Amino acid sequence: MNKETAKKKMLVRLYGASTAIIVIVVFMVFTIASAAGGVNFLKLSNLSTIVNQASFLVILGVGQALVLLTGGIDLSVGALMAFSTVFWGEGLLKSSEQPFLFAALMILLTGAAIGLINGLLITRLNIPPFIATFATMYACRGLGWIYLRNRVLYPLDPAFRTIATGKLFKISKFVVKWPMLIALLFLLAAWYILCKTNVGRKIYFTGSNPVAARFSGINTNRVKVGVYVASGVIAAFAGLMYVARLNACEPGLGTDSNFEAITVALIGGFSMAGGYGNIWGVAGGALVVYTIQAGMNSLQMPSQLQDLISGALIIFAVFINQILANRRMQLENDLRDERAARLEKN
Amino acid sequence: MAENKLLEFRHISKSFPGVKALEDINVDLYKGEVHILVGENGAGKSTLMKVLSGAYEATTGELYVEGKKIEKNSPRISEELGISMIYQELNLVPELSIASNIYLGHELRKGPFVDTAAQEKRANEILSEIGVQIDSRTLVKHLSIGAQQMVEIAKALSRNAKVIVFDEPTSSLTDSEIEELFNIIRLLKKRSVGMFYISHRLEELFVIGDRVTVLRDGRQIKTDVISNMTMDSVIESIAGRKIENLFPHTRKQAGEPMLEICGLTGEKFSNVSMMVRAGEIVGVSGLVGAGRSEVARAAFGVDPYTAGEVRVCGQRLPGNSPARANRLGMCLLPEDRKVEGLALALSIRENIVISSLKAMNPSGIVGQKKEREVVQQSIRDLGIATSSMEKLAKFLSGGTQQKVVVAKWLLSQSKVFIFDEPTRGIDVGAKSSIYQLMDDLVGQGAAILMISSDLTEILGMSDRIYVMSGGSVVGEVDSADANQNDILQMAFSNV
Repeated sequence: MNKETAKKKMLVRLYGASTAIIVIVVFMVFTIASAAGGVNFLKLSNLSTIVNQASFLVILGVGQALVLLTGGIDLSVGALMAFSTVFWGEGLLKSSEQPFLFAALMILLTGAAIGLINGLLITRLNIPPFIATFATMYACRGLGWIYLRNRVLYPLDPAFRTIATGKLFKISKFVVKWPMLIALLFLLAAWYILCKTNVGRKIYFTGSNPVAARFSGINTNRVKVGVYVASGVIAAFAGLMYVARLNACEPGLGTDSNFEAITVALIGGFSMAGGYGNIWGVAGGALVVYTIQAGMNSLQMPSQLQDLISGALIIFAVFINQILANRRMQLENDLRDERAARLEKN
Repeated sequence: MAENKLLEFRHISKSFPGVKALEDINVDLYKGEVHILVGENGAGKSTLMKVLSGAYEATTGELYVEGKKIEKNSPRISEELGISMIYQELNLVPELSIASNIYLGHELRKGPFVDTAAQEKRANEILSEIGVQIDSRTLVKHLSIGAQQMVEIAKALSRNAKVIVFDEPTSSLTDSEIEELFNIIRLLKKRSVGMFYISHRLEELFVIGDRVTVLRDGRQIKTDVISNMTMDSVIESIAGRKIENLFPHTRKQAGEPMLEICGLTGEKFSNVSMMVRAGEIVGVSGLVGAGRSEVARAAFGVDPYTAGEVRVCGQRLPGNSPARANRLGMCLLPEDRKVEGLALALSIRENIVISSLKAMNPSGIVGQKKEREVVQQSIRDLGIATSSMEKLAKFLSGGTQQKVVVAKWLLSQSKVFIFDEPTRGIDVGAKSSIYQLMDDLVGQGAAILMISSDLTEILGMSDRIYVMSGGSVVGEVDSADANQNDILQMAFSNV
């Protein structure tokens, strides 16, 4: 193997790890900035908190990633979280006589129903995903406020709150909590579906070229409705986690969650154009988004500045991912051709 | 003669990583000459022209324009040297007028403003010089593909082009438009414009060409004046082997009706009825815009129809659902494979298996090992030229892409095939293997409906032929008693 080929192989690997590199850079920046203030950013208890909080974002990001893969977008997730938990929130209360599992199940079903509405608006009425989910976002938020008015439902059943606050075990000072396990399960399930099943193939193909997908006999409408329903259910689950953490159901929940979810998926290497992205990137995206929030909080930066930096970072990450994705495809292709040419020669 | 030499490639080679795209090419072009470049997809024709246009830089070798060596080429420099490219996919802005398109980027000015009146006047002059009678204020979106091509030529002339490169100019033109184009090319010859002309339609060589260069695998196989060549010798040097019989199709025993289209009516066609039996290849001929592809799309369920019905193997299709049609064993090889046939950013493997997922993996879980074996087998069976099954579809040549689409449908166990322009833009070697494949398919009891604008292909491959004109079927003939003239006459009958 010559030097040129070795260099290309290295670049392919490097480009493939762009999200991981962003994570490392962000960690390094905050480690240095915190060290200047005499704080050890990398201490295990701190890392444990970061990973735990990022887990909430992972769940949101997984749902959004599925939608992005088909070339869509789901803006309604934050409002959906609020509405579904507010509507069935009485059943999650400590004072409730029903088991909280019933309310939780209804919340997930509500998420599925709103996802179904999104999917039908998009496929039956041909409303662009951005507009359709934008509208359901407002509708859900409004319904939440109308239903609950100025009340807040609290405190919630402590057994239910375990999903957000429960500890599993400790490795030295790194506390492994329920959210981490749940996020990992979501990632594993999404990875399995996307990479190992017929459904996953159809999702990628539909996003990559919806017209060719239809010509290939894929029921693209069903695929699209499917991902919006999945996104709805996942958002409702995230809603459960958030209210469990907050110990209250209130209609103002998750006003930024839709944007966070999109940011997580974009930094994780998913493309708005659809058909491209690796689900494990979501984990990286979530770490970056949360670290920036937490890191800047600990440095006591104003939240407006946080928004500014998040915006800049999205542009940077999308730019990098886009360019690198194309370069990587080209390089991988060159390497394949070279390998075949070498084999032929021998 | 030397002063008539417009340009010359000397010992041009171009390497991409792992591939030699061009090797020691020596080609020249004289004033008023039509120099035809032929070769299979990936033979290096387009690469050579990209070296000329400055899009690529040659690895070694020299380019001379009017005796002067071009040290460093770029798209801008080549344009200044009077070299114009007219691509298959036209580069016009549909919402602008003909005149604005012609002067796009080179606007005539009056002070700081664009002198629209002067542009329109000058554009009209150029258009009438090449015998086109269209007002230059017309918006490009209202023009036919043929007329748009004329605008491209006018654009080249407005920049005093000395060399014009035509890349498959006739692939989407009707016969009358082709004749018009050839007239303009003859006119340009008189005005000493030199032209490179890339085409897969070999009969055109003998109509319009002066000299021919055959490329194969990046090497120059032959350059000679057209009078020293015959169709057979050209085909042989393109393919690098003798192709005995381009159309291998023999008539099979026809069986039960497999595809029945009864009284289908839609936006661009009305009351269309067609039937294909097992073992039959049925051709659909007609002019561009006769509604052939529209019928195919509606029958397959991609587009809606307002009346009529479609039956596959006796079962009525619900309409508007390609997924259902496919489940009953019907498939459509679309006209535009890049847009309708392939997910370009996915691999050959993912593209080939996409329509067979359920049959291959009934549990819903992809069997990775079996999948690779199946794909490897189709790559071998169809002779798909690739370094790996993981290669992304966008990196394949047109002919190879078409084979991938065919492979996808073969794997899906379809029995009723609609081929829409199956060999457009495909070289003669790949053509002959696709024809062989079609013959094998009907030999195994499949039914094929083939839409094609290439009359030799229609006559060579079909058992029966439907002729469409103006959205209706105007005739049905047995190919044994059909000839090109009859078909053409019918095709024009209802325009």
